[in-house]
Amino acid sequence: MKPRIITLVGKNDQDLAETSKKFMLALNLEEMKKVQKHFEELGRNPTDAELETIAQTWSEHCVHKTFSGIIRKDGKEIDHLLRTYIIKATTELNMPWCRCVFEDNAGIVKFDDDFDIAVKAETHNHPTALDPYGGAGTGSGGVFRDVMGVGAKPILSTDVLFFGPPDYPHDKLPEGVLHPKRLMKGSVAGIRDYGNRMGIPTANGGIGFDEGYIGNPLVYAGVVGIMPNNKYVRNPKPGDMIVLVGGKTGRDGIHGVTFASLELTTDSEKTSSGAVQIGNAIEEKRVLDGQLIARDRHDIPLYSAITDCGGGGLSSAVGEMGKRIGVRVELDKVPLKYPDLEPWEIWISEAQERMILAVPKGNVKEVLDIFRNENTDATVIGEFTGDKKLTLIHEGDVVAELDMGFLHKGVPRVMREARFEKAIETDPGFTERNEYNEDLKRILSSPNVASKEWVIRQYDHEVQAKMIIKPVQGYSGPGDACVIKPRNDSWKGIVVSNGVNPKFCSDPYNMALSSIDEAMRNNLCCGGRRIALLDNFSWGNPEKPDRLGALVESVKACHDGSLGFQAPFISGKDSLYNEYSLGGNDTISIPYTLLVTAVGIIPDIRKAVTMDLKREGNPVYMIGKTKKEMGGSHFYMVNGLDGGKVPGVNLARAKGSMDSLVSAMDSGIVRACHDCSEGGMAVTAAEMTFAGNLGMRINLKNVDSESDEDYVILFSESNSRFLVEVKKGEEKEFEEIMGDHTRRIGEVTIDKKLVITGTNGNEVISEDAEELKRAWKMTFDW
Amino acid sequence: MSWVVGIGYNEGVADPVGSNTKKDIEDLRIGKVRDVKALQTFFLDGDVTREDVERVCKDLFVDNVVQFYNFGEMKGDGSHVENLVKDRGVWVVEIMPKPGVMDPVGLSSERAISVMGVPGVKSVGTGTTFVIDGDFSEQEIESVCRKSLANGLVQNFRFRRLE
Repeated sequence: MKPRIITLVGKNDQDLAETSKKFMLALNLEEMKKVQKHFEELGRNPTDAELETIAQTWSEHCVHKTFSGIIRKDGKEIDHLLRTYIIKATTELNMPWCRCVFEDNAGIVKFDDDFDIAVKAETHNHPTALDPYGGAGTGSGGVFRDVMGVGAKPILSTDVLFFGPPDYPHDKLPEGVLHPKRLMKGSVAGIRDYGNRMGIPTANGGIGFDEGYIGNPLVYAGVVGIMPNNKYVRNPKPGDMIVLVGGKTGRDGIHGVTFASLELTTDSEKTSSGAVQIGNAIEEKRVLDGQLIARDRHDIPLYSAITDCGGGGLSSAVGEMGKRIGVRVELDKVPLKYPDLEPWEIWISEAQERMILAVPKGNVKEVLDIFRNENTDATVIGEFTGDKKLTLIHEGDVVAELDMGFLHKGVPRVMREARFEKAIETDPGFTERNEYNEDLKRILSSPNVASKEWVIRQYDHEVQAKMIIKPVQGYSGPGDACVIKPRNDSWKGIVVSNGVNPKFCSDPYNMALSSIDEAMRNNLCCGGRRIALLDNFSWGNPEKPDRLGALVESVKACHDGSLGFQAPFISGKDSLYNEYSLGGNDTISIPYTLLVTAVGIIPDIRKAVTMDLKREGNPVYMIGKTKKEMGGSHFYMVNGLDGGKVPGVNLARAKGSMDSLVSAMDSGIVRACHDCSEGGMAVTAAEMTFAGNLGMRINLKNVDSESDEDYVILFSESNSRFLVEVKKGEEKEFEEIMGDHTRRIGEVTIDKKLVITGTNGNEVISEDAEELKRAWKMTFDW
Repeated sequence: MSWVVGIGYNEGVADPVGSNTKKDIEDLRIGKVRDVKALQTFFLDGDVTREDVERVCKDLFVDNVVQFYNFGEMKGDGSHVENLVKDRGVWVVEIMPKPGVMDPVGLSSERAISVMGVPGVKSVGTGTTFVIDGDFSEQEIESVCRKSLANGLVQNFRFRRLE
């Protein structure tokens, strides 16, 4: 098959734009002109393979144009958003336990003297919108390969999902959009089948709902991996062979990457079928097994570099690995699912379950044998050259010959306008009620808060037999974080948690800070410390200044929060263009969503704490101050109220209280700990009560609050707060450790009732724990 | 001969896919559904003897404690469902992946069948056959397929009434 030449030289602007559209390149005019100029200088036109390679390498998904571009906001220029804020904080913190940050497929931090932890979280939103089962499943498969791509073994999976309301009326659904319930069931099944079949425990996560996700659901897949700290290699040399292992290549996911850089339209359902893939977890398990043998059989790995084929396929994997030295690939050597693929299709196909290894010539036979013994394909498809060129051969013809410098450095930097105006906060106000039993139950059964046990029980969180603190605690209580003990010969554990607060997106700065605070809190609840963070932005179209302005605000908050908590960001990802066009000018943008994943260490898992109440008579303490921050609260939501101040974070106080809490946990006097988040303190107390099959008595007068209104103390979602059950008799020690961060507010009772006395002395909540649990569990009784 | 195998749960054993699908159809508020059974379906393409299909069913596909199987010769028009489904007065919907869409369970089955030493199997595809007892017009059942049972992007479906 001779390469097709695409004429760019001599074309006018309109022709260039049409060419980009016709071939689904998603390159803008400026980029097309840059390509045109490059080929004018070469005195020829590009081949289809060359143009596709450039489009893929320059896609938003791969180069993160927005985060690395120039942003003009308030008359100032921000040169490289990521470096200016997030990476700057990590550099300033300069933690000695950070091994590899913002460089490779995954962030790497130290676990102990022998092992490192690799962590990564990613989105797979657009494919999931079209086919939830395949999209969410391959999201998991893809992120597992990310940690495999630094040589680690995946030991834990975490998934956070967002959908439209599960009871949304079918007749109101826009054309071409799948119903939220169907999306949720399909996504959960996809994640379940991939994780369970591959034998990776899915032990942590969350699911949120908002009308803003109707046309554009979010799927965040995260993974933690572990590796010996002397086995990380990333140094391909000229002469090394390129070995492709794993699945065969088909037309899967062609243009998946460029597709992610476009808004979904009503036509997406029909035209994007190529962008959907179904995962094969068993194949990936075979690849992983082979890879671990290749890594560990000798003192040093048999490969000199390894990476996964993800978005952009071979083009991204091989191109990235060889960008400093040059590669030559023979495309006809790539094993195909079916014949007659065009060379460029082979090159950019996003077929799943494939890895690329750079293997020194002397090791090639051994590597091929290892993978073949695992019953998976392993094929030499080319070599690293040293000529700093990307050369693609198909049936003896050169189908692409590109200069690596132009390919990887040539992309014009985008210049974008950002604008942000803080919304005026008007609190709608609320007239106090005599009691709040119904409000509490309505919040407990609202989809965001309600029990997700229906989902959790489908995921295998026991496989590999390393889970210590699991997602369901006590009598069906919702855990804050999960704790895993990766080594048989050590008590040290890894604590994984998440924080995400799209309900606060009217104030993106405080939304981001709240997400960080929540991720930290959840981690702390189980005893985590020395926390590393991952950011994951799902945003609207960055070419619209208000969206970008909000993004800048939240990125600033990441910088400030990271420094404040002394928790460095080590990796991240962004998924922009999450907008759904209904035709015409109206678009639905998703609520700005920042997922913060926190990975902490606990020196001794025997000191880890769960959230269920343990024994009657124990005192209950509250950490942190309650403020009148009802904006985005679930209390306002169930009462149909809008507006109000979004919770902020006092970083110095928060950090101080969290450090003290860790000391208290280490001294062994904390019996249970649960953070106050969605639904506020009342929900926290209810969950601890029914999870412990005990009762709790609280007096609101004792709570440290700036407001004396009962509904604020009960339901405000102020950050940096915890409820803590302390061992009876250790009150003095706890109070000494915590200083002015805590107040005693009540005690654990035997009567299985939650009784809360208001500031006026009347019982504002008095309800059986069983009744609260029933409200909490009925929503997802699917 | 090419064959189609349908595997369901014995009477009295919970059929989670079937009962979940029933709830999904109820959510649509189309027609009236009384009961849904789901049969995991395997399409054995090639030249396979009846005895060999029987063996593959017993030794590979079926959990003999809680499941049953039926099979019949594959027919291009889908009339093989008459052999898979014993009920009458029901709608039968077949869902299968579109050509070219990855079918990991099918691929694993192919490998397993070849390890068993069963000759003649060219390829294995998988799908689901739903047996729907309820009141639906032809248009309504098609709408149920589109809105809930099949994703037109990656799956084909076909349905027929068994009288």
